[in-house]
Amino acid sequence: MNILILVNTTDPEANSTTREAISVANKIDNQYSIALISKSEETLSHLQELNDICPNKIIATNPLLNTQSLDLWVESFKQVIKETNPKIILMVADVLTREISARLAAQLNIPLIQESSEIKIENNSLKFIRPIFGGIASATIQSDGISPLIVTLQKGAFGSSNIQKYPNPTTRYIQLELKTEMEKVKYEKLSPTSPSRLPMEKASSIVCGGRGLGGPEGFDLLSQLANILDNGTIGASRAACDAGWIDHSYQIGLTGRTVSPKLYFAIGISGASQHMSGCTKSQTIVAINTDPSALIFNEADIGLIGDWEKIIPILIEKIKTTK
Amino acid sequence: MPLNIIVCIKQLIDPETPIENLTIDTHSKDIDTIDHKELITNGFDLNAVEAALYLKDKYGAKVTIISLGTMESQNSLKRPLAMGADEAILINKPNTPIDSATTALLLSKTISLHIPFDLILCGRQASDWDNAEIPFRIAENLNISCISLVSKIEINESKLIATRALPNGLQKAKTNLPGLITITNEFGEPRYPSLRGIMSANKKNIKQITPTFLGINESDITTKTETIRINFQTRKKNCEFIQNENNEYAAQALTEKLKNLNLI
Ligand SMILES: Cc1cc2nc3c(=O)[nH]c(=O)nc-3n(C[C@H](O)[C@H](O)[C@H](O)COP(=O)(O)OP(=O)(O)OC[C@H]3O[C@@H](n4cnc5c(N)ncnc54)[C@H](O)[C@@H]3O)c2cc1C
Ligand SMILES: Nc1ncnc2c1ncn2[C@@H]1O[C@H](COP(=O)(O)O)[C@@H](O)[C@H]1O
Repeated sequence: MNILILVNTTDPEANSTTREAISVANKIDNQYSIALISKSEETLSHLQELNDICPNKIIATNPLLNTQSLDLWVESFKQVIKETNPKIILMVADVLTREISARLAAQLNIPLIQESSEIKIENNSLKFIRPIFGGIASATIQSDGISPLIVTLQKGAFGSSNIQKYPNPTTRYIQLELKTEMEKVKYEKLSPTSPSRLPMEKASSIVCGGRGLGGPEGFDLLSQLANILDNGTIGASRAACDAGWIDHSYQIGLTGRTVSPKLYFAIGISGASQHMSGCTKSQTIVAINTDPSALIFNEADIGLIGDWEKIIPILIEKIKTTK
Repeated sequence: MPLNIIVCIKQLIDPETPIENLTIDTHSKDIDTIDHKELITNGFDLNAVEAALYLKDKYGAKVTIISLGTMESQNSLKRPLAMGADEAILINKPNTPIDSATTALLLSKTISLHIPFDLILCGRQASDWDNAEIPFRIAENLNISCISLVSKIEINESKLIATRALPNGLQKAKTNLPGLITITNEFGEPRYPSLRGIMSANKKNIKQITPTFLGINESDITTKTETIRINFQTRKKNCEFIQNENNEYAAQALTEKLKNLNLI
């Protein structure tokens, strides 16, 4: 058993993100396992879609497993790794797994490659490609082939076309050994910023505002535009969030959200690579900026050189009458 | 008892450097600037310095800055001192390429061998390789608790109460000291050094530590992964510009374009 996929079972999208990891594993070696950890097997019923698309399944449980606790996640995965001795450990990158992977790498004294976006097989050895410097460059990395290796996979980078059916998957049960003292940090429940908002990742159109808005008021106008677009919502650059004009949960980019709507408006945004890493997968990017040399015009599909404050109100009227 | 706080800071290339001023260093397999411009302190690490000084103002603390870097990094260690940190230590970076495990080992050894501590603060990630790996390795090496992505901290009877800024909202987390936390930009802007701060920083010595002193010989350093190449990403698209003679016309043209593409 060479590859072990560790699943974030609390991710509401776990079925689709795990398909991506499975698709990667199928490409490398078709003898792999996925590991699901939880309090009990019953709490994993939402992951049934994964039942017959991987050859081996590991279910590791303990009633003490509080999935809020990163300490217990790390300990549980460590036990699964020790039981199964994989050569490559794959996880889909998100806030939770980025931390777990680093802590596992430290505890097991093995290397880690974060946010790999492409994997190649060259001269019989695996090469992992990952973005660096906010996405302006990429590094190709190989491991020594001896030490086990942890790799986190950039969400959405691999697709899930390479899925096979395994009609008779094996299931192995592992009883995790957990003690309450292992939980060094106590986490409270997350308090969502604005639960009623349309999740950005599901929006078809996003109107994103940056420092060029000059203040919080601009976002009112952007919301008006978003409201008349197909399944639309607003977003922001880090500069606009840091200025306190809008909550940080609206931030799109490397350290914010990653989105891929049909239509993405970048308004008063210069196009820094760290912002673009969160939105380059949009189908059509429209940029409105007063500066003709702004970087955003290198990445936009449609550009309009001008002042948003003058253009957006007219644009709203025009779109309303066209609809 | 004042707290003993350590802040780990990394010196790196300004992440806002335009791509045309960057080059690939084929020897170290990393990015460099073409004019070898001075390095700056990682932005999130200055947020971490601010967090340490916030705690110092509130509860009383001795703040020690540690950086693993080259001699050039000395200059940038002055800034946190000028902001109000008490001491700075520079660990001389070995000449051979080192990986995250070795970096974390050198930092952990310096911390555990030389400084008593209650709390270690790091930036959420270094904006060169965006790994977010070193802090977790340090916490695990020292076997202390860690909380990531912190935007607010309080200390109450040697318990640390932190607020994490996560993509979907805020989350409170509590732990006993000693511990390590990583600070995110939501914590707030780092303060500017005062004139008095700058003057007293100039008088402070920066202590230097070598890997050998920590019991690590350069010739023993190995890496388990190797970067084989670096490439710049060219993402230039062909942007179709909408003529903007006047705003009325431009808005109309944009609307038609979007309609034709079936986007509205
Ligand atoms: C490690 C790291 C992580 C980061 N993560 C993120 C991230 O997740 N998301 C993110 O967004 N950034 C991130 N950044 C910051 C990023 O590098 C940029 O600083 C930021 O994106 C700039 O925001 P901006 O484009 O709104 O502001 P600016 O760069 O200041 O651009 C403002 C633009 O508005 C234009 N403008 C001004 N007035 C008008 C007007 N009236 N009409 C039209 N246009 C106008 C200007 O010409 C300019 O191009 C990160 C940085 C680092 C180092
Ligand atoms: N060479 C270094 N010296 C001191 N601190 C470092 C160094 N490298 C990383 N760190 C700390 O670890 C954090 C995350 O870095 P990284 O894991 O490289 O993304 C940084 O924000 C620093 O606080």
